[in-house]
Amino acid sequence: MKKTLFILLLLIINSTVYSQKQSQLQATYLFNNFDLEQKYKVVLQINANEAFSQFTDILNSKDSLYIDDTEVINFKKESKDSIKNQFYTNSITKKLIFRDFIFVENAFNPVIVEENIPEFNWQLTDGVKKVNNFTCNSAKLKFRGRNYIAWYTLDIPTNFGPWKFYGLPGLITEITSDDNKISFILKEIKTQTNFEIKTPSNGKNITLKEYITFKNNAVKEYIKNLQSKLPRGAVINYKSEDYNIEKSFE
Amino acid sequence: MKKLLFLGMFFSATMVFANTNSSSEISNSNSNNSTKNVKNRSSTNSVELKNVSSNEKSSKEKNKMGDCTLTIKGTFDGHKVDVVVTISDVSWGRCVLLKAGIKAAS
Repeated sequence: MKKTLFILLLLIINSTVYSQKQSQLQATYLFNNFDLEQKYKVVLQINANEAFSQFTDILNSKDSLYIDDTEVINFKKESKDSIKNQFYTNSITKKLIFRDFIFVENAFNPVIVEENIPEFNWQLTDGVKKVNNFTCNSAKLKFRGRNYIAWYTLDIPTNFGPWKFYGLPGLITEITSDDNKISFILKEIKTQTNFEIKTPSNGKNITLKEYITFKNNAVKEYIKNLQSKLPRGAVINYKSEDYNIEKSFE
Repeated sequence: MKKLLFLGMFFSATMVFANTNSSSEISNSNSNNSTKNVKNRSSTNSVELKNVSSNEKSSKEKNKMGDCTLTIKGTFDGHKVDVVVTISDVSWGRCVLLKAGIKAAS
C-alpha cells in the first residue's frame, strides 16, 4: 500500500513539474519603430502566471552629432545601457513592472516603474490568416495614443504578449500600428526549461505618475539644459513630435 | 594793359608747363622700363589693395554685429526635435564660438 502511494506521489510530482516545464515558453519578436529607426530583438518568456520581455538592440545605433553642409547641427541622443528595457507582467497580482530611462541632470538614468496592468480593450475581429504555420485571428486595440491591428493564435493559449500587451486569448504573432510605424513580428518560438522569470532590476524605483511627468517633460528638460549653456538673450524656438511607442497615458 | 597781357601770358605758360610736367610723368610711365615698373607696381598695388580691401571687408564682416542663428535637428528620447537658437548683436567670430559651444552642449 505504502509503495503504491509512493509511486502515485512520484507520478503526481513528476507530472506537475513536467506540466510546469511545458508551460514555459520563449517567443522571439522583431520590434521596429520606423520613425526612430529603432530595431530590437524582443525575447518574451512566459509561464503560467508571468511574462518577461527583454529588449536587445539589433542596429546598435549610437548617439551621434554632426554639422551638415547647411550648417545645421544634427544629433541623436537615446537612452541606453547594457541591460536596456525590460517588462514584467504578473497575471495574479495584476501588476506590470518595467525598466525604462528618464532624462535627469543631463543624463539618462534607469528607473523601475510599477503600474497596474492597463486595460486593454481588445476588439476581436473576423480576420483569419496563417502566420508561421499558426492559424491566427485578428483583433484591434487602441492603446496610449496608437491604434493596433494584432494577429494571435489560439494554438498557444496565453494572455501574455510582447512588451506590455496583455489580454488576448492566444499568443500574439504579429501586431502593427495602423500607421505602420510600430511593429512586433514573431520570429521564433520554443519551449524552454530551467529558466526563471525575473523582475526588472537596476534602476531607481519611481511611481508611474513621476515617470509620466518625466516623459512629458523630457524635451523641455533638454531645452532647459541647452538654454543654460547659452549666453543671456539667446532665444530658443523649438517644435517636437513624439514618436515613442506610448504617446499618451490614460 | 600790356602789363596785364604779359601777366596773362606768363600764367598761361606756367599752366602749360605744369600740365606738360604731369603728362610727361604719365608718358614716362608709359616708356618700357617705367611702364613695367608701373605695371608691376600698379598690379602689385592693385593686388595689395584687393587684399587689403578683402581683409578690411572680412574683418569688417567679422566685427559687424548681427543675429547669430543656429538650427539644431535631432532625436531625443523618442522625440524628433527642431530647435532654432537666435542670439542678437553678436560678431561673426563670437557666433562661430557660440556654434561650437552649442554643438558641445547638444
